Amino acid sequence: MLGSSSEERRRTDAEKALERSNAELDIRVHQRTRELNSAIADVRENELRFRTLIELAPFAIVVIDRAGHIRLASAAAYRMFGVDEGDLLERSVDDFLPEELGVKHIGDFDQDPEPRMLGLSRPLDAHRLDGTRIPVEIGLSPAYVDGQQMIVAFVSDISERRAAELLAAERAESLEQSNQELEQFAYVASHDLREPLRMISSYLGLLSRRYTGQLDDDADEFIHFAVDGAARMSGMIEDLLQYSRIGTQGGELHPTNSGEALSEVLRDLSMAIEEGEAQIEVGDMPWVMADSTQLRRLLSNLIGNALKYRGEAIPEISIHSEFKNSRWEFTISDNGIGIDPEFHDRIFRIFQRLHGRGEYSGSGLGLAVCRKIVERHGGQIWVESRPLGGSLFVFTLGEAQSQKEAAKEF
Amino acid sequence: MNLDSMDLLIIEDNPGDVVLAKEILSQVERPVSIRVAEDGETALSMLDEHLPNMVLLDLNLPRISGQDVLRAIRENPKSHAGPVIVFSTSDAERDVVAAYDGGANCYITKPVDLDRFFKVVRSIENFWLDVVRLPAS
Ligand SMILES: [Mg+2]
Repeated sequence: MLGSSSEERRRTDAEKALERSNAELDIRVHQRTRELNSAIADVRENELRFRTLIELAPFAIVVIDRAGHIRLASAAAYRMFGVDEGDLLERSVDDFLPEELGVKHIGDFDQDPEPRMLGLSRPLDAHRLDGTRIPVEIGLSPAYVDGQQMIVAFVSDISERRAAELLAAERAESLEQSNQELEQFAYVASHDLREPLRMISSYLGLLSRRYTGQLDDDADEFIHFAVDGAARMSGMIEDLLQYSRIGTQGGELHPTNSGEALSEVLRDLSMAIEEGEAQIEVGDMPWVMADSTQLRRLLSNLIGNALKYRGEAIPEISIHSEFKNSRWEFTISDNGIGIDPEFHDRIFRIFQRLHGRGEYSGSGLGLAVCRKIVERHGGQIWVESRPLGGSLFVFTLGEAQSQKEAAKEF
Repeated sequence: MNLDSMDLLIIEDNPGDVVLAKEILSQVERPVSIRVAEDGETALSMLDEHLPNMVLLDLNLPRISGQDVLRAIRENPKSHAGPVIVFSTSDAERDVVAAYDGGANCYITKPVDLDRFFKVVRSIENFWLDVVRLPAS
């Protein structure tokens, strides 16, 4: 029975092996089941996360198939379009979008299935089923859903932004209009005021010419003050006229060589420069977009001030430019008497003077003119104090679109 | 000195300007004869009667504008060569251009004070009476 006994052992061995393998299989099945369950849980969790993401997104999410039918939509989409879930699904995008961006557009998108934005460059209105419009921006992205190529649309309602933009534009327009009216008023007023003022000055002049020395000393002084006042008023009216003309009679902005403008200004000021023995230092000057007459006026006023408000020392004035934050920044620094920081804003207002008439002449309009010119050019102007005394005036201008173009034009 | 006399027609509606002009012209060294027209119609009929050797013309006049008076002066063969000096408050480019286009010999903005008025009159006098030769003379 040796054979049978060995047979027996072999069977027992086989049974044991089978048992073992069964147990291993069992363990593996268990393990797999656990893994599967965990995977399912993961998927559920992911789906839940995904759902939450979709439902909480500040924009509506709509999944569209290739025929332009809506296959999936987030709660925000129902709210935005004011429909029930059943009313939105299976509808065509043509029910909600302008024709050229609806089903027709899907073909375009297939040609070039890259994510893209609609409504950025041109305003885009979606419409509800009742015909009311919603200003929107739409992001489109290709996606695989249920094994099919589809398009996911992210739709943002931008009504509030559009309304704010509209309001801002309206405000800017009405501000522009009231500025123009004010300029017109300043122009007409100063123009018409010249006429009676001319009579006052001329006849005061006649009085003083004919009667000075013939009345008592008081009378001479009275006439003198009246003549002086009339002359000053006449100067102010002229200034006001010129100030109002910056806006009403300014030329268009062209590519302008600021270096050339500066040379001309320095030539015009050469007498004052020589008289004051001033030292002028000039850096590289760029091409900018400007009305050249006004640019010269701006430079002339600033450099003229630097010469006028000098201190004890020999005036040192430097003019430089630097390209900063995509604009040209010009600086004009001097070693003059400087300006108290307290007055840094005030000096740019019309008819503001910091000094008595006896100290420095001028009607206090120069810097107001500068500000108006710079603002008309879309730039900014300000003043800084220099640590060792003196002032640093800074103004910005836009760059000429292309230097080559500018060179061609002149 | 033998100076030509100054025979002037002032076309001006503002009495203040007229008195001022007379006052200043009274100090000119040569003999001066001044006549005044307060509006265009009067001016044209006065010109028809007598031709002065210079016209001082305000632009802003009642009824017929200075611009139209100028045109009438130039269209009349009798007066078309005589010097017309436009004397106006306006320094607007369009007024200046329109005046020269209409045949003005000179455009002067009314001086804002007496001293300048004197200077202006002196240069008018020197230029138009001593320098320029006109067909009439
Ligand atoms: Mg008048």
